[in-house]
Amino acid sequence: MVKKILAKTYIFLILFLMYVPILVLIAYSFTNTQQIGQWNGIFTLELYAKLFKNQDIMVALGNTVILAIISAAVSTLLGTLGAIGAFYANKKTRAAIENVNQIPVVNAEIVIALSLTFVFVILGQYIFKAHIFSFWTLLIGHVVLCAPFVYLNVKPKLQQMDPSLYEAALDLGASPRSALKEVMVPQLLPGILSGFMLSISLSLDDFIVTAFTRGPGLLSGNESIQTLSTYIQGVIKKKAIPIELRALTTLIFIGVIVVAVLVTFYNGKQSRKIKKRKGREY
Amino acid sequence: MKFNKLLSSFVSLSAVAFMLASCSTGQNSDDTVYLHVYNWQDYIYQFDPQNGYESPDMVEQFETFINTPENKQTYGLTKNVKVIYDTFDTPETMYNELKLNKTTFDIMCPSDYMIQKLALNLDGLESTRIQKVDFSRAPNYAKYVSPFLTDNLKDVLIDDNKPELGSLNDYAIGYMWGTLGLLYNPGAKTLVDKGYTEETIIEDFTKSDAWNILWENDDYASVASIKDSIRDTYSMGIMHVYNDEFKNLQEKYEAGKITKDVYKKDINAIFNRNDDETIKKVQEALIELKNRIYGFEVDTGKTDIVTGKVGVNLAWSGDAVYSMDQAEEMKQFFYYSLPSYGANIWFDGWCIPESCTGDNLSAAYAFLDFLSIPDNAAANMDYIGYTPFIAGDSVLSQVHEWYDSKDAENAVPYDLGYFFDGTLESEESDPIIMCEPEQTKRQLHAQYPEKNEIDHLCIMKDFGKANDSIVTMWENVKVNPLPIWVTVIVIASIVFMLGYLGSYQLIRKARIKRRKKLRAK
Repeated sequence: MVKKILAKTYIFLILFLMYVPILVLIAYSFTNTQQIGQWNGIFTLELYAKLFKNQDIMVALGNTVILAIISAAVSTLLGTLGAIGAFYANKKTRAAIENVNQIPVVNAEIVIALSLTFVFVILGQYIFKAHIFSFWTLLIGHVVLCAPFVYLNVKPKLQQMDPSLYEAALDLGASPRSALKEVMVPQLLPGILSGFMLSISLSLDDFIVTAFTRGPGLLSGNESIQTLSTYIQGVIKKKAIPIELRALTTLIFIGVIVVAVLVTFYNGKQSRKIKKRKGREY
Repeated sequence: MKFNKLLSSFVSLSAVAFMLASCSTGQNSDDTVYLHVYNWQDYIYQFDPQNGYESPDMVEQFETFINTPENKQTYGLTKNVKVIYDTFDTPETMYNELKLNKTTFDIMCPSDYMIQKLALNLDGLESTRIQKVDFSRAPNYAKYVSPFLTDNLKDVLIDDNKPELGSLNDYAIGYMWGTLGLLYNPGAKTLVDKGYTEETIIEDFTKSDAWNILWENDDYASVASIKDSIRDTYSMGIMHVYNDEFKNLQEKYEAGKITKDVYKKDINAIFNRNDDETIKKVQEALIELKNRIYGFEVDTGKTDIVTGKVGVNLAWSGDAVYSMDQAEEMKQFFYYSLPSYGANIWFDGWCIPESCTGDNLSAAYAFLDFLSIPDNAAANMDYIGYTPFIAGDSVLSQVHEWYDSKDAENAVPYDLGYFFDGTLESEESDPIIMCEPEQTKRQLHAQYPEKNEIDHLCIMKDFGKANDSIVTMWENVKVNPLPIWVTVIVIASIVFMLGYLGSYQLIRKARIKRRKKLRAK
């Protein structure tokens, strides 16, 4: 009994310490003091109003979200297809692909960013004969960053799956494409989804690759794409972090919580379904 | 098949989009010049009605200004101008982008040492070369820039051994300037608890050798945070290490034994020392400082002091003004100290790359000249909090409006003649501000140093060839050197682990081989 209580306090203490900074930030998003730590006792939603009127932040936020969704979608597609391909390839090829896939995961981000920049500069100088830094180079950068993680998420699902399912589908008359679509993808879906979510979160808060590979485009128009991370990095040099960001952080936090709860809920339902099915089988 | 077709069309489409996207910028169409501006983030006036900035962005105002027939003619333009405004976080980022030739810019706004580095262009790259400025094409700048600052810029030769290369003034149109000093909170709780009173704190920080205070007084040091920046800390280290030399020179100068020119040359020479011995001394001083102070900070010092986390901060004048303004809203009053034995004065200025020519060059001069109109300079000063290069009536009246004391009896004169003389047109403009006595140590002091202090300000040049050794010095300061026995143990354990794993693998392989052999038998 004592052991149980101790274990529970320990967990709650750790959770509490993890969430305290976020909770403080959320509390301060409802007051208009300039500094966190100086509670002036005014309850106001002013920061939220300011947030939506601050064009710089809105543009940066829009860019960040668009980029995250597109790059996550592309990485998921590439990563999943890569994982399936590697799974059915012969042993040597699979080992080679696996090793190549490890490189971006293990490597320091700055190395990826710098090498990509060099590639783009050389391409621009000798092939396109123009400056090619744009949304597309940024997208490539983020896909390079995210795709290996999708691969790593899909791989275990493939290993759990019965490898002869695909062949069975072919034997029963499915075309390779519909076998992939109807048989493989539903089996791999949890892995694909978690890969997608991971890609989104990786892309959302990335600074280094973004700073190196961005160019003009998206909502920034002719100007260099600003994401939230590059915007904040720039703004603190001559001024302080805008107070509106407290409101934005709160909104993002709430969004993440909602998604997390929904995913847990969905997973719970799924596992209950599977249990039922198993119950019928045995 | 269909899928393949789809894929190939997607690839070709994206390739086309790629090409289009790359061509659309930087190239001028028939009737529009795209002026590519590269500046610090939040370093220009912006439309922000929630904080009382009601007029449109400075960039937008410029576009309205230049796209009228008369103004186009004045600046030698026939086409319309559109500004592409990009921002960087540090001059080093800017330099790397130029070096990599990621994009081309028409004007950019780095700090003094970076302009010197670009003008010197030791790497010899085409993309980092800047051109000399033709002041006749920016008449407003020539008219309204403070002579005090151009004199300072002229003192910085691009290369001391090659005077024919000219000075900083030949390569830059000044934008903002300031000093590096100590921002302190005389009401800091930790200090008050230790028995310091507001008066003693202010007295300690206004001493001529206040730079030494963090090395001498542990109470102050324990609440101080220092910018995590190689140049700013180096200048502080120099001021501490050569304090006596600065002191002697100043005494000689004040006794009239040496002229102002000799004095300025001498203090700048000390301030820019970077021989091996100096670097070693500075390293020792900075390591000692590091062990005494609260900590290094990356751009959080200006808010940390307001929240009360620290009580002393090594601050740029503009950051100091920001912190003092913020603190005032909470009825706290901070002070800014510029120790009179010498301090760093710095500049941010616009420079023009060699690649900017023709219509882009005309548009660039038009933009710089527009920023140099005193009304616009005053708006920028109001928004950013830093002090512009431009003097003139509107800037002076802005200063008057901020700092004129309401209490005429206790007001003290603060002479800004050194800065404004020669640029004022109105008879009524008076460069002497009658301000509250505290202001001589607060915002006004941060924005414009006192007249008797300006001779003691030094410019820190680019480190040049000593750059590598100073970077090494800074790394030595930042890392905590491990005791030798720790290093030995770490290396020994790594070697042991590798050896263990390696021999384990070898043994395993040998075993497998033997087993195979046995099986074959």
